[in-house]
Amino acid sequence: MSDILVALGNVFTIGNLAGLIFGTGAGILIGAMPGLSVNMGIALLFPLTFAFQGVGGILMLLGIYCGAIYGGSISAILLKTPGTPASVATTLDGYPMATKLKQPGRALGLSTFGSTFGGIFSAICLIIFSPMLASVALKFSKPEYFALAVFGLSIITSVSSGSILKGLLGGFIGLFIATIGIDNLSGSVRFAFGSTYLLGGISFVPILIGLFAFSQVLQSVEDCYKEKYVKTDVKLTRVFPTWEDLKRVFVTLLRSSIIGTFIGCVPGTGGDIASFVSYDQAKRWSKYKDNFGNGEPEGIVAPEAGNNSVSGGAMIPMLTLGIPGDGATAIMLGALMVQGMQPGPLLFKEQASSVYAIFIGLLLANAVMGLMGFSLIRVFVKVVNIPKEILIPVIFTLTFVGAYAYNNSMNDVFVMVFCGFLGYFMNKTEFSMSAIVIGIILGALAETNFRGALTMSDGNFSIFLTHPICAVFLALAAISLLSPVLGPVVKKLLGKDKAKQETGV
Amino acid sequence: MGNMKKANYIISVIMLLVGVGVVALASSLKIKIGEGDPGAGFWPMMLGILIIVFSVCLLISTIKNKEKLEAKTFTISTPANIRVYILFGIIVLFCVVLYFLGFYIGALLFIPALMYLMEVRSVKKIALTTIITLAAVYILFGMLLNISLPAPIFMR
Repeated sequence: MSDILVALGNVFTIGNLAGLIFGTGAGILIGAMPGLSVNMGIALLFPLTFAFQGVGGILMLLGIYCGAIYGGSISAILLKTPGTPASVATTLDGYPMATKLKQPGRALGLSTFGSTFGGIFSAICLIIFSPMLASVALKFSKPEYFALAVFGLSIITSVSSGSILKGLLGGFIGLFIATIGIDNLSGSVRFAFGSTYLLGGISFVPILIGLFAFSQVLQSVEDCYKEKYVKTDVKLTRVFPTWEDLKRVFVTLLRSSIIGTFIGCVPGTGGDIASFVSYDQAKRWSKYKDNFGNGEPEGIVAPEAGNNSVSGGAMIPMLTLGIPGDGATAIMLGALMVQGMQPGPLLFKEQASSVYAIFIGLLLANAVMGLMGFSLIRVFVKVVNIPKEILIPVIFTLTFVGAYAYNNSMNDVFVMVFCGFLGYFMNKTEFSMSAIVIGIILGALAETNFRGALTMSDGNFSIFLTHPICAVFLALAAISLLSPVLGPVVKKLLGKDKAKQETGV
Repeated sequence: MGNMKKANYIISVIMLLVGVGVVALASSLKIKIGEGDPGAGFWPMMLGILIIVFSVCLLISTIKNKEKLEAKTFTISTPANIRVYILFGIIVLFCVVLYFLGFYIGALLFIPALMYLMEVRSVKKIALTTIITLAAVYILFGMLLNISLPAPIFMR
C-alpha cells in the first residue's frame, strides 16, 4: 500500500503530469504524420525524457508510446495513409466513412473512443495480471533468466518480415555490440581498440535514433522526390460518438480489447496483427457484415481498440519477464533501462513504487490520449498537411539534438549518423533493424546469466536442460526460431493429409 | 536497380568477414570450458561462430533461390537515390561544422542546404523554417529542458 501511495505522490506532480501530457501530445503528432512509425516516434522523442528525473521520464515515454499508436489512425482515416502499420486496418472503414459518407468527425471520434477504451482495458489487465506473473517469475534463477533472454531474442524471427536469416544475423550483431566495453563479470576490456568512448560500451540511444529515425528520414527524402503536395481540407463537426454508435460498437470494443491484450502478451506479435485479427473477428460476428468496407463503425473501433490494447498487453511480459513483445516494446524496454529501471521479476520487488507509477502512468496516458483526441483533434488533423520539405529538416535537426543530448558526446552523433546511413541500405535489403536493437537490449541479460548459470554448475552445460522452466523456455525459443522453417512443412503435410481424406486415397 | 541476389551475396561476404573478425578478436580473450565461468571471450566467440554459420546459410539460400531473388529489386541509382547520396555528403559536412562551429551555426547552414536539395526555392519558406526550428530547439531543449548542445570549439 505504501508503494502505491509513493507512486501516486511521484506521478501527481506538476512536472511529471506536464511531461506525460506533453509526451502524449507529441506522440499523437508523430503518429499522425504519414510515414512516421511508433518506433520512430519513441526513438525521436526519447531524448526529451532525459530532462526528467526518475518517474517523470518514464511517464513521458508511456505518453509517447500510447499517443503514437493512436495518432496513426488520424492519417489512416483522413488520407488513407496509415501513420503506423498498426493502423492499416483502420483505413478499410475509416477512410470510406470520412470520404464516401462525408463523416470524418464521426470516424475520428469512433477511432478515438476505440483507442482509449482498448488502452485503458489493457492497462487494467496489466495491473491485474503482471504482479501474478512476476510472483511466479521471482523463483527464477540464472539459467531461467538466460532462457528468458533467449526466448526474447527468438521474436527476431517474427520482426524480420523480409528475411529471417538476415534478421538473425542482425540479432547476433546486436548481441556482439552489447559485449563491447568492460566485461561486468571479469573486468576485462573487450573490443575497445584503445578508445575511451568504446570502453564504456556503445550507447543504445544513438543506435536507436540512427536506425529508427535517421534512416527513415533518409528514406522519406527519397520517397518524396518529385512528389506533388496535396492539401487535405477537413471540416470536422461532431467528434464525440453518438449513443447509438456506442451501443452498436460496445461488444466489438470489448472483444477487440481482449484480442489485442492477449496478442500483445504473446512475444513476437504486435499492433498490426492485433488490429487485423480484431477487424476480422468484428466482421465475422457483426450483424452488419455487408457494411464492412463502406464505413462501418465496428470496422473502425475494432482495429483501433485492438492495436491500442496491445500497449498494456505487451507490457505484461516486458515488465514481469523483461522480454519485449514487439519492436516498439523492445525500444520501450531499452528506454526504461536507460532511465534506470531493469524490467523483470525483481523490478516488482526492488522498485515496486516505480512499477505502480508505470501502471498509473499507463492508465493516465490513455485517459489523456482520449481527452486530447476529443478536444484537440482539429489541431492534430492539421499535422497531416505539413509539407515534407518542412517536416524532414525538423526531424533531422531533432535526431542530432537527441543523439548529442544523451551523453553530450559528439561520438554519439557520429554513431547515430553511421547507423542512419547503414539503416538506409538495410531497409532496402530487408535487413531487420528491430533485430539489432533487440540483440543490443537483451545482450547483457543473456550473457551475464549464461555465464552465471555455468558458474553455478561448475561449467556443466546440462544445467540448461535440468532446470525444467529453463528447458521449457529454451524449447519455446527453439520452436519460435524454427517456426518459419517448420511452419510451411507442417502446412504441407497437413494439406496432404486433408487431400488424402477428401479423395479417400 | 539493385537486386536481392547481389545484395545477399555482398551481405553474406561482409558478415562472414565480420564473423571471422569477431572470432579472431575473441580468441585473444580468456576462454575456459568446464570450470565455472567460461571467461570473457566465450560469449563473443560463440557469437562470431554463429555469425559465420548464418552468413554461410544466407549464401547457400541465395544460391538456391537465385532466380527468385534476382527478380526482387530495389532502387539504388535513380535520381531520388542520388539526392539521398548528396544528402549523405551534406550530413558529413554538417558533422564537421557541428564539431568546430557548434549546433546553432551548423544547423543554420544545414537546414537551408537540405531544403534547397529538396527543391524548395522560396527564400522566405527556407528562412522561416530555419529560424522557427532553431528557436523551438533553443526554447525547448536549451531553456526549458536545460539540455546542452554542441558549442563552437572556441567557446568550449
